[in-house]
Amino acid sequence: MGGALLEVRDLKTYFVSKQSTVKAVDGVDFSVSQGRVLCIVGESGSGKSVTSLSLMRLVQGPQGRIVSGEVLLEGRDLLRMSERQMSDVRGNEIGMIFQEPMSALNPVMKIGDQIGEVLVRHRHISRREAREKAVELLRNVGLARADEMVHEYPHQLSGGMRQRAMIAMAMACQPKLLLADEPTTALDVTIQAQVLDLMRALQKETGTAIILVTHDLGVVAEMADDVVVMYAGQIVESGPADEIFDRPLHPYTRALMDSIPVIEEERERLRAIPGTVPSAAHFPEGCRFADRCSLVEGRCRERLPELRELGPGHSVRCHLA
Amino acid sequence: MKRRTAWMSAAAVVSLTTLLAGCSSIGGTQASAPKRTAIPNGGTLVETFPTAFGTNMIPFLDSSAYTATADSYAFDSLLNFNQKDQLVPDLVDKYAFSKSKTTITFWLNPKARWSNGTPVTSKDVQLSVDWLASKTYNVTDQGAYGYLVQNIVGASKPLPDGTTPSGFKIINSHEFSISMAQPDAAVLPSQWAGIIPLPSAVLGKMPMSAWKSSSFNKVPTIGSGPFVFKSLVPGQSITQVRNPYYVFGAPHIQTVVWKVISPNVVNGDLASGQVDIAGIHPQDVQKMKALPNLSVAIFPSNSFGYLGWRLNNAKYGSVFSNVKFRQAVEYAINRPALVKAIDKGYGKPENGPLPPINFWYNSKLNNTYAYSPATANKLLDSIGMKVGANGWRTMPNGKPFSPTLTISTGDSNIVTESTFIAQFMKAVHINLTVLPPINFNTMLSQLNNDSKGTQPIQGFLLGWSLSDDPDPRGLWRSTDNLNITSIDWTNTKDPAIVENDRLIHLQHSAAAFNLAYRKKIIYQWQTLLNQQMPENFLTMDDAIYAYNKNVHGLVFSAYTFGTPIDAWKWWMSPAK
Amino acid sequence: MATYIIRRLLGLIPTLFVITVIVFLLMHAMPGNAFEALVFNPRLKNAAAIYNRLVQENGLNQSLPVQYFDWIKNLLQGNLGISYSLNMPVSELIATYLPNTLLLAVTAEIIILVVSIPIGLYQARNVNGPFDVLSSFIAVLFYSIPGFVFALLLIYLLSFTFNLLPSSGTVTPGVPWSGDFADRVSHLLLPALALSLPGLAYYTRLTRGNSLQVIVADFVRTARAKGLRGPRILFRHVLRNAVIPIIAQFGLDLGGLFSGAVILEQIFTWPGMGELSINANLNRDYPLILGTTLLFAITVLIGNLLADILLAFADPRIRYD
Repeated sequence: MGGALLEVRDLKTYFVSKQSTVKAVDGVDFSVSQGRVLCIVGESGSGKSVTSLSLMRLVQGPQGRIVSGEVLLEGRDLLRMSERQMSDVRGNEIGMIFQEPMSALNPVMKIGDQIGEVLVRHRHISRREAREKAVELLRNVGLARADEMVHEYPHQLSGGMRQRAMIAMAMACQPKLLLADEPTTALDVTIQAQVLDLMRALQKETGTAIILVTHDLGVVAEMADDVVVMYAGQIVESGPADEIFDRPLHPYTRALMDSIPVIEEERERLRAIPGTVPSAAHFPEGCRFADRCSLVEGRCRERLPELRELGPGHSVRCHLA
Repeated sequence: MKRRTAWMSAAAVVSLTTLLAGCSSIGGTQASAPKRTAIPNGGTLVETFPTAFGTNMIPFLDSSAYTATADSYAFDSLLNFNQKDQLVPDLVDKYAFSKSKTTITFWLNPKARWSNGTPVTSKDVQLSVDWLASKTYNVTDQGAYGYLVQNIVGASKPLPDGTTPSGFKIINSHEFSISMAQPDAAVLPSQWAGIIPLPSAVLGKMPMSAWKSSSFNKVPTIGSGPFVFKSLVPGQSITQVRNPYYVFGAPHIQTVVWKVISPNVVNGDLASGQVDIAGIHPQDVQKMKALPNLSVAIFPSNSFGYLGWRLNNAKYGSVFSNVKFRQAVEYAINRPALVKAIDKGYGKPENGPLPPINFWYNSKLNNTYAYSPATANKLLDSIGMKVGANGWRTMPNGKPFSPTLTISTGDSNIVTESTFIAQFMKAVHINLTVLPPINFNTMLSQLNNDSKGTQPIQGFLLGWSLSDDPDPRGLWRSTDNLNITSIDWTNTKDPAIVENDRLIHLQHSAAAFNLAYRKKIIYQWQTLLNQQMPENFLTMDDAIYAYNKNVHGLVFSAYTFGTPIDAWKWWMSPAK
Repeated sequence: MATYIIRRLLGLIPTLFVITVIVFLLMHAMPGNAFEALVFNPRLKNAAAIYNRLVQENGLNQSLPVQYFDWIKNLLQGNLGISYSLNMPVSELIATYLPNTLLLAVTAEIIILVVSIPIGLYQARNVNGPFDVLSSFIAVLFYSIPGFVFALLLIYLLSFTFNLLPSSGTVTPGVPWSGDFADRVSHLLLPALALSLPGLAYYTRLTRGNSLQVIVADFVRTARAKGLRGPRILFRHVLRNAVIPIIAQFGLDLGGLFSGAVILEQIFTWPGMGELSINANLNRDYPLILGTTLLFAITVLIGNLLADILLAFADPRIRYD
């Protein structure tokens, strides 16, 4: 497996206002190695997106603040870098793509220019060269009309094309790590598969590590080498994908799995997890899943369980496991 | 140099109380004149216009009062008036009437020259007469000054361009004569004296129809006045330079600049020295006097404000046209108090159709109609206007009497004055309501289209700014179109009207060439109007000017509006 | 685009026709006419005759439709008539006064855009910072105080007190350097500044508000994720989008600038269209009223058209075909 490419230790990102402190990410540890795909999975509000933004130090200030932790990229702590050093990392060593490709692309800038400016910024090439490179990059992500597309604006492209363009942009500098925040959520199902295939292919080709944030276990099943399950700002279970799918230990993980629609079983209805994620401003004292857990016991409400390693690389945060 | 103060522009009428104010120091304010040899030459004098001037600079072509003022520096007329309203030589240094009094022979001053050094000749006068009588001038170019030649034999109707009326004859290059059909004592001072010779060497070569579009019309670089046009920026400034060949000697000041300056900033421009002379408001006198670099000149004006009544008004005309009503109103208005309040004391009560400073004013009119609400009440009682239960007087027939007062926009002093008048009326139980100010043109339109007396206008405030000569024709005859105050007064068989017209005729008759006789008749006429009060004469407001202390030799006259006279005598202290 | 512009320009003709008809009717509904004031002169011994002659010469005794179609007929031959009050061709007057208005309006507009956009952008970047609070306060102050008050204040300070700049006119009369570049600029500064102050405040607020909306947009986050630095993000991504509503507003304001400067034109003796048209109306100068109104109408309509065209250039999502 080799040394970890990216190692996250005790990452805490809070949103502080006069009224309250929202602990969106509350002590998260994980790592990803070169060439691996790590999926961070969880419901909305679980802190998975904030985690990914924290890695890039893109949390919206001044309320959002990374209060502690380390994010080590090949041993360099990103959180201790100057803003200038960090901007050299962004788009260069770490690429990022977002959920909604329409709003994530500048509506008044040509696709070619939007891709090109990353290259101009990090590769210090001329704008003309960047434009040519952009055509090549677009072709690499499977866009046949790349020649024309560089001159087009985002609104002239379909959703899938836009996300491919986003990927081309994020991959332009051949980053070591690609952060993908719900990259397929806004897309049609058929397009989703194509985009995932593309990411897979690119990953094979370039050896880039991928951190894929999603709420969709189907995506996880298809993509993940490793899985981190987040709930209420914390990791509740993590481990190799096979382990997690074969032997889910945390009641929440299991509940998530049950909520995957399985067409063959002719179950029309999804088994949704009852209740909602507790407000990040008022976490309960004990296990944060306790209120929704079908197996809840007394101790669950008294003490927050530790994340314990129960198998090789397989950790879980549950008293009952 | 004759100042064609012309007729007042619309703005000048409405802002009479502002622009001109009235008081004590008769005659000019004159700096102690050093010996002529000691007077330094040079300097630039900056004068102002409150709003834009017209840009047709050939004399008579533009009816804007400001254009006429600037023109009066560049072109002298045949004769001129001094501070005492007496005719004095200008380009013409001598004239003589024929025995029949129908022909006047004029001799041009041998020193009269154009600014290029060539002499002013009879041909230049002829060109001016031809121009004023021409079809082009009177039809295409509005012809505001056509009246100057209409009494010349053969010029009663517009003539084809370039035709000389038969009454004008050149005797030689410096002598010419002008004839009229009937002797008229007012023609010389009120018309012919104001004829301005035009440079035939320039304009004589052009068809008159081409004058307006000529470059000479934009900047007439040749003139006969003390200062000649040098350049002009439309809407903002005129630059004139001294004429070395001026008939009375080259002026001392090198350059005169006329600038359009907003009344909002003119005081500041005076204080900072960006403007050398400008009219100021009565309320600013003390402030301007306190400034170390400024002097203030206060002198009477040949103008007055009045309260008119629509004597033919369908509703109240029967009251307005009663002479006792108008006399009562005159008694009820405290005119000295108006002078104090509106003019800050810089003015005088007006008693008749000529202001107290006028050369022709009948001083027996002084102190007539002294403020007396008691007399006013007695007069009103005597015509049956009883005070009703509500405290207001009624019409003699018992119907309510609540007239209105119309004023024009543009002058806050007029609004103040109207409230004063309403208060004075209230004191004698007359319920006078002041209407919101209306546009001056709207006011004129109501006055001019009121033959049935149904226009909303009933009482109104206006002013007259008068010409040098007191000839009342045009304004006061029963047939005069401008006789807007007196339609009923003139159309009845009232012996007063017959007397009025008779006196006006006499003052310009052959006998009136005798000054004493003319004066006597004009005195009688003033007494008649003072007794009849065709309109309620209110106040004469002084003209007030502030000027920089480095300007010397200014001569102010009651008969000019906006500029001192004898520009060739002025001089400026050399710049420090 | 070209066909669109041509179509729009052709579309102006009926609008202008309707406007002139309305103006013509309103103009004649105003009591009085120019010649009543002209002959209101005690020196004229035959005022009635002169009045009747002038009315006849100028066709004012004709019926309104006849007068209107005479005007249209002359207009189509390029003849706008002769001003009653100034006794000069209307076209010549407009040719004299229009350049002054254009110069003042364009200078003021440049000052507004050059100053307000960077300030608004900087405010948005450091929202609620000391600069933002202070400059916003000043902007509201400028916006709520009438322009002529500033004009008088500027004159008092810069002209009367410190004698730095002239208080009136477009050139210094009677000096050798009259009308040279420095002379013109020194005359232009005060009125342009006074004219631009309220707009400056307004456009600063507009830029600030638009930028604040854009600054939180997804594509700005994308730009940061690409490693772009502050200034490029601000100008290339934030401003480029924030400027679109400003352009729309700008086109609408363009027409207003012509008539909006009337009071300032009077205070500064700046011979422009505002004063020309006000005097035309006060003097019932029919040919001049029609000429200036026609020009105002054209300016407003062209301003709108210009705004639409600029908008299409600024925002690729807008297309006219």
